[in-house]
Amino acid sequence: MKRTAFVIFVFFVVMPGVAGAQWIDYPSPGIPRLPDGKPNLAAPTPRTADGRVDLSGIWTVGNLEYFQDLAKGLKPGDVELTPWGATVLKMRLDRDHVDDPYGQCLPLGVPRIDMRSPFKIVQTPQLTALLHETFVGMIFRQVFTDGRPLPKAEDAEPTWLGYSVGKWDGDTFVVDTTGFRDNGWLSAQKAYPHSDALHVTERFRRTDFGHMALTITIDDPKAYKKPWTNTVPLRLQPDTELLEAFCDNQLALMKHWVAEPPPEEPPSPREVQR
Amino acid sequence: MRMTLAVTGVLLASVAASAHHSYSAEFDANKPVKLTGVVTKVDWKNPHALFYIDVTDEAGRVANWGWELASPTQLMRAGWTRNSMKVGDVVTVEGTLARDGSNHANTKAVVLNSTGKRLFAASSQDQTP
Repeated sequence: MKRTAFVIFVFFVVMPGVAGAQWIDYPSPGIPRLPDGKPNLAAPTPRTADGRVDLSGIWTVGNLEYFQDLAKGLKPGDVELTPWGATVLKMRLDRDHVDDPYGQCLPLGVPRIDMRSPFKIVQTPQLTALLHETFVGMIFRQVFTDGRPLPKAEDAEPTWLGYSVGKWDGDTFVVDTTGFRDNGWLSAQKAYPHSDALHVTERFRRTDFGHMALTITIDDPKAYKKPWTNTVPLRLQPDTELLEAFCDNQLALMKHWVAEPPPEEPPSPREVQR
Repeated sequence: MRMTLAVTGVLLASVAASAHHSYSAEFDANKPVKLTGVVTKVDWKNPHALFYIDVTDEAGRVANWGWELASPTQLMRAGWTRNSMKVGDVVTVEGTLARDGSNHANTKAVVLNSTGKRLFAASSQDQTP
């Protein structure tokens, strides 16, 4: 009798609730919760079975400030452009950054892909995957922790997302990425350029269950006279999922595009300018 | 209540304004527009959704206007769905005009005329992407 009652309860009370729950607000399993059922974002930093900090989850900046300006909050002089970097930046700003490749449905590069839309970290011992929800498609990065070195510059085909390897520095996951295409964009509104010599270091430090400090260092001797660093706070987005978005409406939007074709940007110099 | 509406308005505006980094190649922020019409189509697509309304002027002439929204993913995280606005709904829309002079605009706020409510008022600011 009790069992019958339980079955009835599951079928008529629990299951309709599950079936009706949206993909976008389905409760994440296995996360600490407060007495009222809300996620406890101040709970301790989780760890994997082998004792590492577990970075898993969906993360977001929650605003567009760092996407628009990666140097937000830095002091004047922290970001010092080379002549090439200054030339390219001025060309972009003179056109009110309308030539941003993201506006043409091309990918965001690294690191600004961390700062636009939610992304999921999937952590395994030999590989950490970053799954990004962007407006121009679902994009993934692979961060290898199997001991492989970064490819040599002369061997690496230049890419939007580069080649990434990771290592642990205590409880901080350090990701080094090189092998980028030339003339990339680090920010949207501020339009900071990068060259094919860019080396990005991302330091992921999960400070508690719901918060992460992402410290980014831009080392690009062709575009900047010295490396520069900023820290972006990320927060966990519990009880949701990544959503698909591919550019199926771009033609309808581009019909109203009235800007002149973009001038050709100069490629970065062959030699380092620093 | 008034507070709720004001907050919702700010949310919609921020979702729309953050939408397009190449906004200025398409729209003129200094040319506001406000029109009332009947929804004829909703294109729930990326990177920006579009919806269309038939607007009838005083002489009885009908013109179809297209309105650009944020991306469906942003809209969904702000509480909208593809069914929040239906063909046949009468809406009043505010936004900014396209630079090319066509019947096209960027959306800042939408009000459903039958109820006077701002559409998608269920959105909460916490969910903005």
